[in-house]
Amino acid sequence: MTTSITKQLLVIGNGMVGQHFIEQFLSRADAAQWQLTVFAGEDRPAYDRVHLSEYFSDANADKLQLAADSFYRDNDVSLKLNEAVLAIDREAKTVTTAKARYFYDKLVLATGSYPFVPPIAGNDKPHCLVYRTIADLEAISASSKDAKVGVVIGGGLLGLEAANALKLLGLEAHVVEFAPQLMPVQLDKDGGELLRSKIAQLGVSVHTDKATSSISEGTEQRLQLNFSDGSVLQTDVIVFSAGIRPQDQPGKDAGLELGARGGIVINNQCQTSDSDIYAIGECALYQGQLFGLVAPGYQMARTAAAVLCGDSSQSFTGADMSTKLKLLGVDVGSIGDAHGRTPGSISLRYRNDLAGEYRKLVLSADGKQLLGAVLVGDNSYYDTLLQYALNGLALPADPHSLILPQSNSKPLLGPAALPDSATLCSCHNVSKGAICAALDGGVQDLAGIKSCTKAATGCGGCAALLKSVVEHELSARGVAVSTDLCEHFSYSRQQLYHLVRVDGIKTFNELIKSHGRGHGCEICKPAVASILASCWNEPVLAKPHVALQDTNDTFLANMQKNGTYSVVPRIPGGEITPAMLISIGKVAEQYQLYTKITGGQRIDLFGATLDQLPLIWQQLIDAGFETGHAYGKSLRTVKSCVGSTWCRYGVQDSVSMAILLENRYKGVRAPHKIKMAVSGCTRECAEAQSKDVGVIATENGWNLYVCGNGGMKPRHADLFATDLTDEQLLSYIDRLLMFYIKTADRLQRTASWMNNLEGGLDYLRDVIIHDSLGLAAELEAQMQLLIGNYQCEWQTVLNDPAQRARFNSYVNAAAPARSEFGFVPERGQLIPTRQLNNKENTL
Amino acid sequence: MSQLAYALENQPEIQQQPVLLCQQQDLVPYSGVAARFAEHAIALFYLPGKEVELYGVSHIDPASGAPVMAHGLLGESKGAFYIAAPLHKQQYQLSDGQCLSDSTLKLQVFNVQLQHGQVWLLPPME
Repeated sequence: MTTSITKQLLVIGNGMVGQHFIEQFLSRADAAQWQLTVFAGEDRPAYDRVHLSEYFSDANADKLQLAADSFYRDNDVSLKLNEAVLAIDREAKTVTTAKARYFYDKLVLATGSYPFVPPIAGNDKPHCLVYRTIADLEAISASSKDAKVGVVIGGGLLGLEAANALKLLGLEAHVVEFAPQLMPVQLDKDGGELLRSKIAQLGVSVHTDKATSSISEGTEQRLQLNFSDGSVLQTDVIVFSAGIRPQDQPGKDAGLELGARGGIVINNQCQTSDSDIYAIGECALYQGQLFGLVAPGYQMARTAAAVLCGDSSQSFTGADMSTKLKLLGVDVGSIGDAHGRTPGSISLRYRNDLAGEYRKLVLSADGKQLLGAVLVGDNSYYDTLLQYALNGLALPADPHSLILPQSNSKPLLGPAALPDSATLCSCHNVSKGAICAALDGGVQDLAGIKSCTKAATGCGGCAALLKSVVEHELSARGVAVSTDLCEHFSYSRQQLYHLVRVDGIKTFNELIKSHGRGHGCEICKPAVASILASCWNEPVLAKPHVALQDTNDTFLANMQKNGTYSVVPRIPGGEITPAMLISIGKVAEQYQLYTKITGGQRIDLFGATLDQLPLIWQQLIDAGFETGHAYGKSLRTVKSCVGSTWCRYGVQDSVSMAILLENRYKGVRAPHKIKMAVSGCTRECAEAQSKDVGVIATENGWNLYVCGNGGMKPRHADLFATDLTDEQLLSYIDRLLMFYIKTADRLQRTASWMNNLEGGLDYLRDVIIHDSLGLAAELEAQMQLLIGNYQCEWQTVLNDPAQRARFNSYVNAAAPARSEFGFVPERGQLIPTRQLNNKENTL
Repeated sequence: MSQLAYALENQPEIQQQPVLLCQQQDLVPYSGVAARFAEHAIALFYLPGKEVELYGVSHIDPASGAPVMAHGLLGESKGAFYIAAPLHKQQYQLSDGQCLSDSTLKLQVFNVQLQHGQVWLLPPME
């Protein structure tokens, strides 16, 4: 396409920074004038070293890969895997590999670093390894087979990561550190001590102040570490993690200027002493400093890409080395001058050995500015402190309140207080000003901000802060919160409910044609399906409704994290005969289902594959069970205590009432799930006051409580009516539920529904008890229709071969073996294979 | 991470000839079904009467590794169709598999076609 001659750009190294450079470079228009060739020493394209230890949780290196294989092809990048550069000839402007010689116009060195192995006698024995590449991990993994003990030499950030890896491999893990404390670079003495005790509690033995003098053959284990103080430690595997050194050999051989202790010297344009050669990432040295974190490397990559394309607006002027991470599950954060080395600086500390938390602030001599901080045990303070430190914001008068726990006066650094220059996302260098500019430019929501600015798409550490800034700025711009259900319907759920009922609409297609637009989405489809079911109570899997249901409703089961399902048969009132209990047990045993008693007095069976669901339900239905609707926005359970039948305190038969209620309302679809309970006396053993509908027995009948719930925001139910007869109780609940179904918003539980009704509880009493709207008869009749149309959805499915076929995992292949989903034994049952999710920011 | 997903991602076998996956009547209008070819699990979404009537994307949820994408809800925004992952509701464009809420996630797209009542998997388009 371009008319100018194609120039050759060679990149040596395809690590995280090298890959970021390629992406940054390609995103520039001038990139079209260049042919890009990338040399990788490893046999795989760039992968995520930050999350390296995840390799051990699922043994899948491909998941760590940063870009799809097609990325290089699609962008015309020539990626030379397994082709390390042997020499650079600056006169001829060529690089030489074992395979060929390549000309360059410009050259980028992104060679990264290599692990430093201390010069200890015996460090080259078998099972003495390092921790940096996937090949290293494979070696550690191989060495750990038939091994019992593993030792990491080096108690820094990477060393503790490596110790975690050894632990994941099932080894007894030890960490040996030369300094008197762990993480001496980032933490002070107290922080290091606390980290040590927390890590020891997790089963990793920590040995500080230990210099290893030699490694010899072991007697019990394969190897023996001999320390300078005469002590020894036997182990099967040794992993060196005693720091990294810049991989500057190619630059050194080519005569580029290096630092006294290594590193290729660069200027603020990321150019080396040869202006046609750039260096970025861990191999580069800027003003005497190396940068071993991913964010500064990305900044260098951005700068080099800009300069190469003639954009001189960007420069690299050093980077903040603050870091927060989770090591073996322990929060650790370090900001700026963590050691208080600034002359005259003062410090404030909070130390709580009971809770296992430590925080330190390093302040300027006048106490007005934050220079640095150390956090162990709780990183929730990190974001605010980092913003104070990076932006030089004036501290509050009582800076210690920034690190005190649960203090009511804790001055939160709100999004409004941040200056426009504040960097929110350091991976992609996005400032608050850039966010505001994007919002002013027409971006309307968080998702839009993420895709337009790339903020929070790197390590993700700033996600919470970004969200609060975007929300604050949106509301400051007067963006109104719309009550429209979604882009397809300009109505609230309540309005749609009325339209469906008034117009007698029976399908989603009718409704979207007459009152909506487009084709629907995952918001409106299940909402309309629920309205249709609430109005007409046709089976949710009847043909016109199949494509509307959320997965759980589609398959009448609850999807779990590994793609298998759980099964919950209805056990009305929690009463079950021994024979029925045995039949559940038999099914669970036959299909090896993980079995757990739920909070609602029933039994949840986990781990069934899609294909197994009809087989399992056939057996359960044959044994006399019916579906428990655990998957639906509908009545879950009516919990009960044993009541007057057995209990010497009971005044009414709570179990019979619970069974009556559960059978009456089972299957009725509602805006959200509904829970009920019946207690046989005022001692309230069924915890009815935490339910949407709670019934408590009195000497004279029943007290009715409404609109309570447990969950994220617990709320006690309100006393609604007292001393009701059975008939009164049922008619009030009929009316209440039907009124809720007709008027609540999508996914609104009864508690917030009532809070949003003008007049609240009193208004509800007027409508339900005093019939102020003249609706009572209609509400009861509509509820009667729903009750009359009840069917066990699983029975319906089993009776219909076409519906049953929906439960085949594959339309063209046999059912997958359950083992394909990944299960491991735990306490005598099978649970999903564990996954780690350690989204933190280290390299 | 399921072992199925592991096998799928590790053995990307690219077929050279068209392969018959299933019949049209196996598809569910405006919803998804899953089909298998070699180590691949493919989610097929059928949109009768639309400009593109059939989409094929990976059945494996990129966020969780679980084989569940065919069970996601079909959605539409400004005329473009997407699938909402059933576990955590990330949205993936059917045309190219790109996740709309997380630029690092992407579904593999398969070249599928409906011909004379049969569903075919064609060699990938370059």
